[in-house]
Amino acid sequence: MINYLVSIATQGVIFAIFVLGLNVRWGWEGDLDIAYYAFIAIGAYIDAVLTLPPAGLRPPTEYILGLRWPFVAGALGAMLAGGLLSLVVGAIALRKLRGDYFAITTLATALIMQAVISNDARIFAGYNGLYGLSQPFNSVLRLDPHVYPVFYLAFCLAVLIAVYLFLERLFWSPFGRALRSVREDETAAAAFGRNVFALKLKGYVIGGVIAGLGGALFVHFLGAFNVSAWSPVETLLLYAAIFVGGTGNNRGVILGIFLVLIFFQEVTRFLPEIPGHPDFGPAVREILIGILILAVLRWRPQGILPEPRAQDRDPASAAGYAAGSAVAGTRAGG
Amino acid sequence: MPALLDVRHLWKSFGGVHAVRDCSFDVEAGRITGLIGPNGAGKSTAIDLISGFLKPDAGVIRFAGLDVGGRPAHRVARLGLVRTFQSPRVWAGLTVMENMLLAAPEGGREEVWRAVCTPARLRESEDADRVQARAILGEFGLLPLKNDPAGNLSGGQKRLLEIARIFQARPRMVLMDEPLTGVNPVLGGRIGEGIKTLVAAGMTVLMVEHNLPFVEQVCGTVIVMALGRPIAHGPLAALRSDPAVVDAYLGQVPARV
Repeated sequence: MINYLVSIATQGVIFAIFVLGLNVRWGWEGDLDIAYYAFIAIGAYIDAVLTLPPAGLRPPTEYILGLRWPFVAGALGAMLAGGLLSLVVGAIALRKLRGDYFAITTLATALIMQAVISNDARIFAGYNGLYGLSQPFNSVLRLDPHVYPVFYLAFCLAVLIAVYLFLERLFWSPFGRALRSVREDETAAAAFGRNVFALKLKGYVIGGVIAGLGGALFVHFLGAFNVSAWSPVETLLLYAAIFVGGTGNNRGVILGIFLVLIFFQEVTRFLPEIPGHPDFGPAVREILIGILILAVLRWRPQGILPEPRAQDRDPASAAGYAAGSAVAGTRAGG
Repeated sequence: MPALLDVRHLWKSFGGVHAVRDCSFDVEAGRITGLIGPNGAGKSTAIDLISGFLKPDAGVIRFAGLDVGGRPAHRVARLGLVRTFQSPRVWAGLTVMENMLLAAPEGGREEVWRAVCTPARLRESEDADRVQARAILGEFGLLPLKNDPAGNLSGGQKRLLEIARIFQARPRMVLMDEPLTGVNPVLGGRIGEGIKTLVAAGMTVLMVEHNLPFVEQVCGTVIVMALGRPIAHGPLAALRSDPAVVDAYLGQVPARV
């Protein structure tokens, strides 16, 4: 039972890192990115081929690199890969395309990447996938197999907190404000001197770097990774978490991913199995994601924790406010 | 005084429609110039071309001595040429105060590394902007709403916020595309006073507007456009008897002027 809880918690923490990156792209920037899972996958693959031994030692699988680098170097490589891929995709898709057209372009990107990686087995071992990933830091720590998962959960949690603090600073900064102004009205942003394309591209790359980092943590959690581990549908799960938790709110989306993951783990566990239809469970899960997104958008479109609003507190008149009016007084105190 | 904005032989067509054809005019610094003319005269297209939201097919646009024709909108804006739109464009999901802070020139404060490394210093450097923004919002009666989302404002309040943002931005020149659209007469008077204050503060205004009494009251000089080019300019009172202007407004297409 403890093992199960630690495993679920680790998955939740890693997914929380994923969803924080997507929240920059969709929540702050307003770009409906359906390719997001591809950036997680590229991070996972790059980290794997950087940390695994050379492919020649383990025929018949083939993959590039195989450098036996330590985990930290692999994770940095994954972040770099996520960022570079975002730079390329963003430079093409963010210049002129908006709304549905942007979403379609990202969907195509994800499908093309999946097709290439599936069919050219020399890059990342295709459908066979990569396996036998190391346990980060355990060559030094030499922890007991029962203890190591707890350590890895704590490590992932530390990374999540670091990513969260980084994004909180960004949200409240002039950069975060400018990025949100582009989401609200990019024509007005340009009229006040904002380079809309550059701002969007920066946000997109930040999202991609976080996706790459999450991918690196994920691949060592799973221990193996192949093409069937990721598809555009996975991105929908992350969107469900954003809508439920609160679009644009860092804390909200973390809450959202835990609610959504637990909801699906627990609800689908009690579904009856239909003999001869092994796809029934996963299919119901996808239908439930769709219903959940629709229900939230219908009844609480801002999510459980809406995007926080910047409060301007005037030090000069704060005292006057509190004395003057009850409404202003509660605000100044809040 | 030399012209702050100088437009020469500007052309722009959309398919077969020549919206702006061989359009030349200039705007003197420190005044309010009106740009009037019947619908389809090319006034809004001219504003879009000058502000960089459209690229001219041909012609030269000089702002403060610099050739700005074809530069992207954000770079024109950074030179000190800010514009407003026919419908008020506020950042609806952001607060009124955030709208004001975004209007001020960013001056490198929007770098990502600064947000991460020196957040406290960034906040300090914004204090002067906040003090100025509160004072401006106070003058426009918007201070009690400073922490509300700008999308909650009424149409008239959004117009006032637009002018307040221009005060915050302090550009050299403002292009206004129909600032009175959807505004009641009382608020219209207030907006007129606001525009006059902009000029008193040293800015130059070029304003497209259909409300001629308002134009007469606010603008010293008026440029009349028809069929994509200026056909007359001067004080509005003098233009009322100009036959080319009367023809343009009454719908008779003038022979090539």
